[in-house]
Amino acid sequence: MSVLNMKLRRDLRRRPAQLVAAVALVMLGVALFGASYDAYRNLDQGYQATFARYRFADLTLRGGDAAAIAADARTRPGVAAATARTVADVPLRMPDGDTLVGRVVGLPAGTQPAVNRVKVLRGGYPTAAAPAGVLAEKHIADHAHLRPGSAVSVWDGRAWRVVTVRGTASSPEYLWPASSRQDALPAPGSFGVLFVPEPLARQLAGTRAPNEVNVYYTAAGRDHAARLDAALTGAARAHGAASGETRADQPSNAALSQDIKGFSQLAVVFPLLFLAAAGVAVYVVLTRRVARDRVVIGTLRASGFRRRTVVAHYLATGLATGLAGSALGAAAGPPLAGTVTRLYGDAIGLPETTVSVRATTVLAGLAFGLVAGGLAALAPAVAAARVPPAEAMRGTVPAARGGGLLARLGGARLGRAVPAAGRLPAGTWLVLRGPTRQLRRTLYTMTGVILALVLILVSWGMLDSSQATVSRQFDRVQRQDAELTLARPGDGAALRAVSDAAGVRAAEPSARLPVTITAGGASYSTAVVGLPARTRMHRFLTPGGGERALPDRGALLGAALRDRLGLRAGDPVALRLPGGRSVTTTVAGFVDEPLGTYAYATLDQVAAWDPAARPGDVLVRFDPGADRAAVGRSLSSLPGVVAYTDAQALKKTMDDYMDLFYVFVAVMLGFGGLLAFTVLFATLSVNLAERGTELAALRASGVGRRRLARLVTAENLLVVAAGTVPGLVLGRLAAGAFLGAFDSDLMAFHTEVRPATFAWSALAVLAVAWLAQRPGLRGLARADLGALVRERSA
Amino acid sequence: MMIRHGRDRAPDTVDVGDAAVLLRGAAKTYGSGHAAVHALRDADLEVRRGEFAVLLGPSGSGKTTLLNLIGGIEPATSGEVVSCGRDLTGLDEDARTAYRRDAVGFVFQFFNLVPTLTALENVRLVAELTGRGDRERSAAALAAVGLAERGGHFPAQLSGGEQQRVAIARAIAKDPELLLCDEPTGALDLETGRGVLRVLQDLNARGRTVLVVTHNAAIAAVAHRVVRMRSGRVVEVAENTAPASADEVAW
Repeated sequence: MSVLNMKLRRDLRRRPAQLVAAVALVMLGVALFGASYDAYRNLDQGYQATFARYRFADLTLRGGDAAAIAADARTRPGVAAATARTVADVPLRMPDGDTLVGRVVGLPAGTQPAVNRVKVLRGGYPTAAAPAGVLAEKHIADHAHLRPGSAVSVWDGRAWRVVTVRGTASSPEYLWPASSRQDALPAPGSFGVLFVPEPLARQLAGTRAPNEVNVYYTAAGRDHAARLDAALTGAARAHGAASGETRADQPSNAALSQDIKGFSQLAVVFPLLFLAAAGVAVYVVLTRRVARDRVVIGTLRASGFRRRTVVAHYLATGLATGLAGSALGAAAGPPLAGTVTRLYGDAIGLPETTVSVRATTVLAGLAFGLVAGGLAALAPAVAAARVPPAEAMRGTVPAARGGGLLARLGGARLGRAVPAAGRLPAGTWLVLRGPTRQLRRTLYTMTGVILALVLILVSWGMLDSSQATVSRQFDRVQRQDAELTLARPGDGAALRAVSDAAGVRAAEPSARLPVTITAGGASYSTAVVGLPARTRMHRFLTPGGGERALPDRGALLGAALRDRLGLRAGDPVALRLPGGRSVTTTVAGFVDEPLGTYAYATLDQVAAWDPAARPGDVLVRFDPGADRAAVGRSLSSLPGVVAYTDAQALKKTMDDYMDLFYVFVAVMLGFGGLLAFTVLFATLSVNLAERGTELAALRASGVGRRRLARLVTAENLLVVAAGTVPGLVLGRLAAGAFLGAFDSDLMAFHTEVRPATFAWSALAVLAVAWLAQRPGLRGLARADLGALVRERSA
Repeated sequence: MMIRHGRDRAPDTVDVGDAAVLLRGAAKTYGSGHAAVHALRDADLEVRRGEFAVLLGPSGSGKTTLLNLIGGIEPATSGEVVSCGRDLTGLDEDARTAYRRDAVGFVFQFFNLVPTLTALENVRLVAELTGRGDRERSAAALAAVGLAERGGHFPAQLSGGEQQRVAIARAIAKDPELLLCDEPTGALDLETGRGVLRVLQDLNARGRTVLVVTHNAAIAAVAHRVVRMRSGRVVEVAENTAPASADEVAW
């Protein structure tokens, strides 16, 4: 081993704690990259495998002559199969008496359909021999404890019909049980699906023909899916279809795609933050080492060592740190990814879960660690190579350059210009000027603070924003406590009975009209919600932050449609109605709502567009302090009411899960704390080591350890506090950017970080900084005063 | 000279008569076993109040170790060390800190000034933190070393001699009984070194006890008492009845 390599090994051992901390950060960054990226890839692969195995529809066409549409589709190149079925949203009554608006989906009895197959989890597939035997979709089966033999009642428009659960099943269409893109976050038990024999589905839906066509593409067809989608949708419209929905737009798939997109985002955010922090630590330690080694470097250069040898010598420290961390991280990534994949797959009931170790991810992780270590070491290494051989002649490290930036900017003159400043204690100046002494290191210390705060605020901001989003939806926009479905739409007597019920403060009728909004060449399928002109159940919040009333004419549209359909207020739009007929109306304005993208109009306006769309729902607000469960039971049992939905259930569910969210935030706080600790530990301990002599001189002069520790602590915390300002600002911006990536027509987040979150985050980082300097301070207290005062101050 | 622990005195004070510094059999050993280094062995020494003493010796002779024991920076491994009426033997770190704060001023070879503080602030810092001395006394200390006009300058803006004089001002601002200087001219050229010696002689002339450690034999000429050390032992103590002035020495 060369002597230079021996020096390298001894250098690595000289301040091992800082480098070990940097190795830990690289390891975490690479491990979390591997875990989140591979989990994303595993889940995506799992979805694709599930979609292929259960032949998940590439395109769903609704309305019109389904048989003709399916027959037409089958003739198209690129179409592997096209099937027609009946789908209807109907009230369901569970064995425990709970009612909800669910969905019945027709299946061929005795054999799986060619498109949108189901996986039977328990019991058996429907057969012709049992025409009232149905499959309950996993989510509602789990929630309502349905098992083979359970009896569920289905409202067929005239009466309750009892069907028998033959088994439970999962389906690629309902991996996430969203009834529509407008209701992508259903509360558990608020929606459920029954797969029923096709003849029974038609009876329950009150139709004689199927109303939906599912199309499955060949691989070649999927290669030009957009063209095929457009051609099939156009052809279906000719047969009276109302809407077409691509696989990407399918509610469950869209919601899950949004969700797992988080993994791919974390695969970028985590390594970026942790590797940057590791880079800062490596840079700080190496910069100090180069400063300390200047005489040695000068001697080496004077002895004929080439610049590149010096560069390689110092670069090796960064590369070794990066390699050690990334090797450990790359090893930890795959098992972590497997665990995350299995936990997530189990949670959503993904039928096909694949866990793969990908060489590309491992290699990328190794490369990230090496690049981070190498880049961080490059500047100090190049600086080392630039040390002139004459440095060897000095014999000592040059003294610091004076009072730092503050002095250069006139800090000394400040005392003369402002007498009050001159009267400040010298200890205060020590604290104030200290950070400007090694300005670059101070900036790196602040960088560590910023990185930690970004990590903390992105995660805590996500929690705050989720809470704010839910609060905005359920406290500000949506004022009703419950939604009732009437047996007969427009039933005035039932409405009056609801209004008069005990515990009910107000009740309003509501109509829901499925439409496809078309403007230019773009279209969007949603529902127009009809409400009384002066509704008290819904607030219409505008994107500008204001509030407005329902327009007498035209419709208010969800703000997502502004960009999606390229609309502005006053623009004309076409509404394609369920029967295939279109009406034209005007965009009266936009509403900014967190969940779903609906259109709103007055009941009169809805009736004008489609006289058949009578108010089938009643929105109810309870008396303050009413027993919600008791009022709910009483309303459910009213004649004419067939389904009861607790409108606040999602909020309650979110509240119930809040403890889990706090665990997530605590984990992120832990990571942020670790990140901050490592960077601050490296920078603050180097600071202390560098100033050991002058601090020892103060101690030799009789300054007590505690007093000195207080001064150093004040200086360190001042730097950290200075870092928290940009840290909080950038953290807030990063949280906004992170959440913005999830913005869609399914849900729209307003980034809202509570002041308390900012305060606690800053305090947490300050506390970590206090801890991070303790080893250095302890070292100073234990330092050999006699030896230190003999050394020259650096 | 006997060391008497007086009944009517504070527990940590002793009566050593006219001696500012008194060592009896003081030793300092670093490490243990085979790795033990005996930096100072069985040292006896007495420096009277108001004396200017010089500790002479080559590198490694133990003179800085001796200075550290007298200054309370390190405890002796064995023997007795009394300074400024305090028995330092067995004092813990807090008590030694109090002793350094109240009784001793240190001047180091490489000044050890805080680079981010001006000359005056460097002087004030120690005065403030030790609670001994105020702004006026700090300014007076700086004036006493001839730097009244340079108080607003940072160390990097001062010459080596000026920096050392600031270090002396820092040491005397709290009005210590004993001024301990470790190679105060070691980093300075002849003229600058003479300037520093002049300041030290001037302070001594005003009644302050000064103890200078140096390997520069020429400096011995300015002292009342010259202590020679070799291999960790005090080998000679000589009195100089007619010390030279700083301007008369040369090296």
